[in-house]
Amino acid sequence: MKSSTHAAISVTVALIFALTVAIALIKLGFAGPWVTQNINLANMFLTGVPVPHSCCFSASPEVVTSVIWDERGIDTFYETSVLFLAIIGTLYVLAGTFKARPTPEGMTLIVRVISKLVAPIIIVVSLSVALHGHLTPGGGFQGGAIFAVAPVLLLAGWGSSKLLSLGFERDTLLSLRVTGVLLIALTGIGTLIIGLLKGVNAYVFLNQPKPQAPIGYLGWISTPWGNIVLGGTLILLNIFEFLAVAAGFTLAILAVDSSGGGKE
Amino acid sequence: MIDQILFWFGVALLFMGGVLDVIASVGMNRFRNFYLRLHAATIGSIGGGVYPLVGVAILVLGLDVPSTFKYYITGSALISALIVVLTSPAGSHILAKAAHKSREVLPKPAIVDRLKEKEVNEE
Repeated sequence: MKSSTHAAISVTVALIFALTVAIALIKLGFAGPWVTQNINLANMFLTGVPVPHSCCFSASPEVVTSVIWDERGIDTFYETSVLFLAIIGTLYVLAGTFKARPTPEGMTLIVRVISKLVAPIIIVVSLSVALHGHLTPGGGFQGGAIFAVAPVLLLAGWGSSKLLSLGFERDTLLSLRVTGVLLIALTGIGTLIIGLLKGVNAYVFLNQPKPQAPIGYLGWISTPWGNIVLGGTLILLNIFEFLAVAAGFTLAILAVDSSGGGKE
Repeated sequence: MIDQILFWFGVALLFMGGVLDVIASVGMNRFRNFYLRLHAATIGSIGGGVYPLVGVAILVLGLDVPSTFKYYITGSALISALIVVLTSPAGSHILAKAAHKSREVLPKPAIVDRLKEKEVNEE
């Protein structure tokens, strides 16, 4: 078959799929200009998450992060593990050790200086996105993905020898990654261990105390100038996820580069 | 008084950004080859991106809103402007260089081509 036939078939399939989904959503009453109310689940989270003593209180004003890390925390942990295994697979296939490539020729002084200037700014932005994940949209994964742009810029402008000399070694990154994922798991089962020792009920990925489970993480710190919101597990999980994702994407980029992506 | 001046200075910068964006889009359509169009695109990103951002930063200072809100918007607008100023010229520079190096686009009506002379000399 010609490639134009392939394109036509894929476009047709995509259109039919989109139409089916749209018709199904309208028939089920979930979409359409006349639907003005949220579904019950959305209302439950929107009214429950910011309210103390409710069933899904997360000590955080950010509903999306609360749902991701608190209400369905174990699901997000599996997503992190999927990324972990994917990067392990990439490393297994592509690279034994990272090669230190010199600065690529053709990159001018302008690009080098600008990439050197912009990389720290990107790192600061990514840290801000990750550390404010429980207050504003964003979080550990997003912050880690933003962080990975800085090594890409340095790799393009300066070559991997610069990155390796900055300390982006394979073993350092791998251990950071493993530490991140392990700490996420430990944070998840921390309440369970404490509950077992104390002899009270607890859940996996429990954030704030629940009616049947009276233990939980520190939600906020009270100071004379006002409360510092921590969001219980949310800030911890965001930091560990940031570590794992940032190190993982950097590893993948370095592996692709040293497998012969660049010129020898 | 100072609020009025800040507000109208910001509005003027915003308006200038809009005009420069229109000029850039006209240039994008009318210029003949890649390098000239890159010039128009950079007018769009610096003139049509940085001037309005600086304009917003100054305009907000003259508004009658809570000061935390004011400084929040001013700070983020100025930082965004700084990042665009740093990255946009470098990006268009390396695009032009790459297009020249890969011989994808030839600088056709050219009086002098120093890059090509340099390459010939090195060979």
